[in-house]
Amino acid sequence: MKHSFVASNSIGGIGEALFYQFASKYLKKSKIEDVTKKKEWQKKGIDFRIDSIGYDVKFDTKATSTGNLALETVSKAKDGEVHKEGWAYTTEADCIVYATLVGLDWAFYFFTRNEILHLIDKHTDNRKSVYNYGYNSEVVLVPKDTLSHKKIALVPLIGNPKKEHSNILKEVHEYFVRRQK
Amino acid sequence: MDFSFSSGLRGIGQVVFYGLLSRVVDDVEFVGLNEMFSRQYVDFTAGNVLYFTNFDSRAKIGKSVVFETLTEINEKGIVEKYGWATQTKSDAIIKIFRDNHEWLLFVFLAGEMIDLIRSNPQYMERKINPYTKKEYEICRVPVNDLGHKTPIRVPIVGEPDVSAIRDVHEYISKYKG
Repeated sequence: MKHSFVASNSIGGIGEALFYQFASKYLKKSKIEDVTKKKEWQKKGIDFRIDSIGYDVKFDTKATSTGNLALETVSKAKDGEVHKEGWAYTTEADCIVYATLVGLDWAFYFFTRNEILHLIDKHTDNRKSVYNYGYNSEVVLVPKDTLSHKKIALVPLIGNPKKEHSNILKEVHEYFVRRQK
Repeated sequence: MDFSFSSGLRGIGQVVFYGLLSRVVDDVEFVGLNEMFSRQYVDFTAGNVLYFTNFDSRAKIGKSVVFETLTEINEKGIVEKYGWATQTKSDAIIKIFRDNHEWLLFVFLAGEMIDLIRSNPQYMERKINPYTKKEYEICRVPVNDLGHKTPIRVPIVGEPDVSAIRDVHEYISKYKG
């Protein structure tokens, strides 16, 4: 099968490739546009446009061991000065997709921008500074068990997702389409 | 399944391989976090066969496959820790990559990997680990040199064809006796 979308070779590219495959398989009637390499959309933090809805895909391999989702509030800081704000503040996507590994499945969480900001506010005491090649970045850690009210789409690493899980993606997308209207 | 996998990127490779192997063998067990097996670089036992997985997230397919021969060399040049490629007690080493929308698996028998390393000293490289600040050594084998091998391709979302995994497992199992 040929794909018009070529995922980057980075770790983040794994998340992009996963979400693209998941969406192309289960949102068959939708128009999926890869904008990962277009500067105008990169600036807005948008990876894919599906029926004009902007999706920003975040990929985290450590959420299983830490039990937290990490929302980046500062991307680059040096000597206490913020050089670049984190994606949690800068993304202009309608939907933030947070993909992580849970057991034998990929777990896809879906958030609106407001939800992300609300979570940062709620867990603001749970901040962590991360050293990253000469810079520091800062994340707010959100325990996964505080998100039990959310529907999570589980996709096995090998094989197809159950219908109820592929339906979650459809429901999420329909919600954003209705919201846009 | 009553076990959990390694965290981070290593865990991805382990889950991918477990997902495939458990479709063709009943008694697959993940032992990668067990102290003894972890020291021997064994991730899975399946019947009489031992497997080790190595996930290379940033590998550029079409360029090279990396085997870690020395993990830590101190400032005096003394080896403090040998690499998984020389220490593993596994029968087969599964190198796992992502090639766009597919997982790509190269299967190496332990002896085959050692032969490949020994016969290609020109591919040995020493680098500095940015975290430990210590030197390590790898053997970077160009993929062109592996033209005789057929990688197993698995879609990242969707049903896989596991016949090649079955063939590999049956071959090693039979050859071990």
